[in-house]
Amino acid sequence: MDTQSQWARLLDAVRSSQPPADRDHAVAGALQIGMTVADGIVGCSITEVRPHGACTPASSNVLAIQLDQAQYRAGSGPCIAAAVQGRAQQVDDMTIDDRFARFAEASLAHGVHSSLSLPLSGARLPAALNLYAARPGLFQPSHTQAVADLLARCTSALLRDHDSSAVHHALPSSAHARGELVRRAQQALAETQDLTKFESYTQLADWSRQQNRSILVIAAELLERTGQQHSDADGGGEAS
Amino acid sequence: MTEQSGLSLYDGMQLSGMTFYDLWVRQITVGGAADELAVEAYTLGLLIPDPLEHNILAQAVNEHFLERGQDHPVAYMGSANAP
Repeated sequence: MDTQSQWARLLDAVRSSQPPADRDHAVAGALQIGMTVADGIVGCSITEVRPHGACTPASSNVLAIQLDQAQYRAGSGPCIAAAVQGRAQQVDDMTIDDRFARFAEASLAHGVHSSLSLPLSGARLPAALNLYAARPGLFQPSHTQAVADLLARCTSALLRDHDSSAVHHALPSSAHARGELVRRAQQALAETQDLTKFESYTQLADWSRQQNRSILVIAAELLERTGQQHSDADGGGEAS
Repeated sequence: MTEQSGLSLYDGMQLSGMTFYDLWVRQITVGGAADELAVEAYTLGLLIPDPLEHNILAQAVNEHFLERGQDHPVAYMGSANAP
């Protein structure tokens, strides 16, 4: 399965309500996606801090388990810190960062030079998603961090039995009304000029670009020209 | 066209300083229907939007720049400033 299909499946799992067995399968899929967040990632796991100590309930491979356990034996490490403190822990170079000396020593012995641990918010127990990489600085690019952050939020939602508050937020009431204004203009344009949805939207966007005006203004004017009224609730052509 | 023409969705969003939540709300405002997860995955390049979805997201980012008196830096698909 290619990476895009893996992501599509994960997002579907987050959106849907699944029984525990399927949820475990989805979490395993999330850890496999973790291995693709950037080239050079060699391990991905989940750390859970239980009353009698930390453990790894799921992992992508043996290496990830070994690196997690090195932290559990030492009693400290980025995975535990991320889970307990609820803040991301990024180690860009194990040879320089001296916060977790025993973990760094074990990591370097396994050829691991950097790591990123992200808290899994809202899990029943303090937990973190861990990514390990063979190269230093692998988690510095903002795009890599953003992808890892999305993966962590999806994993959180799965662990929270599909309580998707980590990935869904409320929408301002005016947004739908304004969007409807654009869709009505798009439809009017499609009908009068025999265009597809894509062609009519792209035409509106082209006018917005050529005239350097909001597509909402363009849409409102088009509806007026075609004799279709739009109410104040539509947003009156104001940009958001 | 400015020298910024042809930015990807992600680069345009980075330049704008918008959050993914901001972008999701904006794409609804300009006629989109994608959920938050899809918007984030499309922008990060994890999923490939269809051309209409791409152009709606491009418009959403570009509206941010329009409000600040700037041009449309993110390219549309199948239009005059397509990359």
